[in-house]
Amino acid sequence: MNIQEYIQSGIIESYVLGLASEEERLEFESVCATYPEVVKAREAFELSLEHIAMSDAVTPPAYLKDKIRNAATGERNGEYMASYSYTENEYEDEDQPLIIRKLFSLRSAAAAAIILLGASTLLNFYFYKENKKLVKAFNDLSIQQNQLVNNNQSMQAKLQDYEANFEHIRNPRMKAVKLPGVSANPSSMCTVYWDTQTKDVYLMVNNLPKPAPGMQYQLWAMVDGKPVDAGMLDMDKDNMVVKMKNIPSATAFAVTLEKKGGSPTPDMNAMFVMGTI
Amino acid sequence: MLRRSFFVNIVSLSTLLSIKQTYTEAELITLLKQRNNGSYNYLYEHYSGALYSIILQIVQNESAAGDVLQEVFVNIWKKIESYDETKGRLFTWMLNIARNAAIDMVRSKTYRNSHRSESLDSSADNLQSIQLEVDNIGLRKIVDKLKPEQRSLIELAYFKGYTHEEIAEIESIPLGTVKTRIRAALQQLRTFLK
Repeated sequence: MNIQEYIQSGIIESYVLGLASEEERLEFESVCATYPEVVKAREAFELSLEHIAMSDAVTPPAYLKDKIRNAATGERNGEYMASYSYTENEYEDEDQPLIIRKLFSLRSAAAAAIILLGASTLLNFYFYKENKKLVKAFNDLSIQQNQLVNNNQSMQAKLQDYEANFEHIRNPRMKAVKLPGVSANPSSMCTVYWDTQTKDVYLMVNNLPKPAPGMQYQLWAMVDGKPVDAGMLDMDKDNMVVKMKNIPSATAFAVTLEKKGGSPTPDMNAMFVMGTI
Repeated sequence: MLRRSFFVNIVSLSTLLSIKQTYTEAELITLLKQRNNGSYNYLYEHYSGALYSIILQIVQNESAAGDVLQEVFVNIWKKIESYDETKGRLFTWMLNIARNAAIDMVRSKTYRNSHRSESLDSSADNLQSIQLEVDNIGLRKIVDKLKPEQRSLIELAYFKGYTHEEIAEIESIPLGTVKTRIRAALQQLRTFLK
């Protein structure tokens, strides 16, 4: 569809003025949903139409205002206004001298002005307080909203980590090595996932006691009969699967409890799990 | 007496407060949908003149126009939920409500009867003055600039509310011609409005 031609075709005017057929209307609305330039042209025409209508407005007769308000909103305000405007006519009917009537209306005007001033001050104060309350509520909500967004972002990041790790484990070239608990710690259990291609090592903790303060679990790989450091396990992170060091070849894996930061050689007395490949 | 003027003042004060305020169109729509009375007052103050003008242009009778204006505001207030901002501006929506209500009024039996008797009663001068007055305002003023054959089509379609099929019959021209002429007239109207 040539959009410029469509815009120039008269359909916009036809739609806005309510002259389009049902079919044309539906088509126009779907075109608007796709082409912002059509919406722009429509709004431009609407505005020029609105402009001419506003500049040539004809004020309706004043008595219609309250009548229509009552009919439309069903509120009672208009009745007060209406009865007030009639009272002036009632005074005309009373046979008081003109001067008294004038004094009377002056006095009531002065009283009205004072009451108006008082009421306006009260209302100002009331609106001021309301406004302050609303500003505070708005700020509180903004802060809460920010926190929620932050929480959500960190949850998303965490979930992505989990998903990435899980992807790794699911990979068919991943080799799983069970590390059962040694005799001193029969209930402990870990699983090593070893990528046979990249040689990356992932450690899953099935069950390990919480380390004492200042202590940390360390993974070892047995390479040519010697233990090689395969990385520290950070239990704080509460991760399902933790990526450890890259180990090109190994015959067995074991986990020992070492002082925080790790040791160059394992403390064989503090071994928790071990498994051969 | 004192208590009464106090009430009156509170009422006029709140009316004043709500009218003095100006709203953006989006704010006004939100408040209207919440049935905020202040927004009703603003709506009436701001738009009743423009809507009354289009109604007058169609019904060309002040007392009937007042009745239509009332119906229009009742409908705006009642149907504001169904107004969809994506389909057009608030004023466009209200203008169409006003145009449709005015056309319905012109077509109603009671209007036709009363209008007929009125035109018999009143002097020709009187009618002409109303006619001239509304011919000179708003959209009619723009439509008057069109070529006569285009003007009569817009008159029938927009101000009288006839469908294209009805116009083809009235004017004894093919439906396709009605459509293309109205489109051409609308394109012309747009250039006049710019």
